[in-house]
Amino acid sequence: MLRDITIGQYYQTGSVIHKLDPRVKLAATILYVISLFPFSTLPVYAIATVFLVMAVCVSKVPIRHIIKGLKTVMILVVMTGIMNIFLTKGENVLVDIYGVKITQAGLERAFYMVIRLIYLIIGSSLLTYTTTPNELTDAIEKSLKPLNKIKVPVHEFSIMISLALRFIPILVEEADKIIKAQSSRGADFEEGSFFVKIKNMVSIIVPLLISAIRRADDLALAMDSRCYNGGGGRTKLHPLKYKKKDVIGYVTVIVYFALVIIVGLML
Amino acid sequence: MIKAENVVYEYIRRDSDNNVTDIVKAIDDVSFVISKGQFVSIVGHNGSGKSTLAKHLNGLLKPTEGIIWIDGIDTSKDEMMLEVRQTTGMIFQNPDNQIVSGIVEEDVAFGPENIGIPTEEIGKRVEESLKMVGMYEYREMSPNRLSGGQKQRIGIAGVLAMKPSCIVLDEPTAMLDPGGRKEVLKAIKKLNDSENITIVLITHNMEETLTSDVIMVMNNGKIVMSGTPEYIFSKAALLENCGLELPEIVKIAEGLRQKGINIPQGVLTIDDLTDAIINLR
Repeated sequence: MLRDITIGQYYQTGSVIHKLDPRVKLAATILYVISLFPFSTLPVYAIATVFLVMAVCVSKVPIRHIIKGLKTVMILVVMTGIMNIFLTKGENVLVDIYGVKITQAGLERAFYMVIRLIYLIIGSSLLTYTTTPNELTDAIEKSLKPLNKIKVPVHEFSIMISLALRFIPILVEEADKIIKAQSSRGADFEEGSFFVKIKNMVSIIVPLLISAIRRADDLALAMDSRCYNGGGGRTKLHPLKYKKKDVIGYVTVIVYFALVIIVGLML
Repeated sequence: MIKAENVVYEYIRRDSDNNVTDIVKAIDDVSFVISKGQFVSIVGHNGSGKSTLAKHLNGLLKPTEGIIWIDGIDTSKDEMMLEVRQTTGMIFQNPDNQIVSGIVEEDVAFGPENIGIPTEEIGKRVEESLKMVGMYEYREMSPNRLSGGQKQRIGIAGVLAMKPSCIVLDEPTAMLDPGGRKEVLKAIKKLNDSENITIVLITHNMEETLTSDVIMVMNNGKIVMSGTPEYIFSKAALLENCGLELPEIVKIAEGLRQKGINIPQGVLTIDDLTDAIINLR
């Protein structure tokens, strides 16, 4: 069940975007997300569409895969659309069914909201399709390094994230095993009311938690014995270094962002 | 070289008011010397103190009394801890719980990264160590897709990348299937033979100790006896007292001997036994 989620899972195609420095991709995603908010006009969204389509094409991630990822959050998108259609007040009433009014403003707002959400999801999942979790934590660690000066434990956070990511599949597998073990002894996780189901989950969560703590203990010993002593003085197998294509990447994104601002303000 | 002098390790149990209720000597006055390039097996049943002893060999635990020297360094000195842990690498029972990264080569690089080796040198070491355990073609994969034996070999590569002179393995095969067990033992043996790395193998599976130079038998925190496999396996009664069983082949040879068939002492492997039986005629 947990394994069916395709949104946000790395998809190797070996494209230029995959090979970009993860910091470029992180910055690009953040700027893209920001660019979707200040203006709700057609020209701006046309630019955003062109940029997104370009990025998807260059990344070579199949459209089918991206749409499959969208499915899991489609309910949220549809709900947002419906809410916006019916709950926006405006002058120009188009349809009036027993007092439930659909206005032109509502339709417009729903249209931009849905497009915005879809672009947000595609844009940010493109980041995780093209960047491994390790690259991503590296990028976050390196970008936030200045915060070290004000005593923010940046390295500790990043190693926590990468260890958590490493152990997710292991714990999923373990949960699967525990569910089967408890079911084989007569536990029932399908029947009963909502509260009964939640109560039954305890027999999964407690053993899972104990095993996680035990694993953490083992892991700490293993890290200790491999000379881990915090972030100071560490070197990297693959240190992040900007190359020529990363500069081009930054320039492309900044040009896009400037274009959105200019077009948004003028039109 | 590893040298232990009168090592004692005590677990202290306390009640809820922090009063000492019980002191258990997990290791009780143990002394031994393991010289460079030796293959030593430490055997004993559960709770005999063998895992506790293993954790002393790279400073994860410090002796309550006595001293452990690793290549001339006293393990109780905190400032020398990184040296000690580079000299003796440690492999644990559960392969999953000692892999820190989602990519094989990055996991192997974890140790050298910690001690600040320059990037190009790390790359070289990762390549060398992965090749030594025969896992180089898997370098870009996720450990989750590997078998237990392969994961354990990745663990060994991670230790090798620190260029240790000794590797301590704490029941490395206990969670593996027979295939994985063979894989790991073969890799260890190869490192011992071709790289002259000292191996300390903690196990309760007597079959795994057959190829070692020395076997130490532990019981109740003490080393009961130590010697070559031939010597140890000739003391069947004493082994049984320690809760250990003879390897299958040795048992068969012993049984034949009791039936009056003339099998020489020191028969350990299937090949030895077949030769001995053929020579009967």
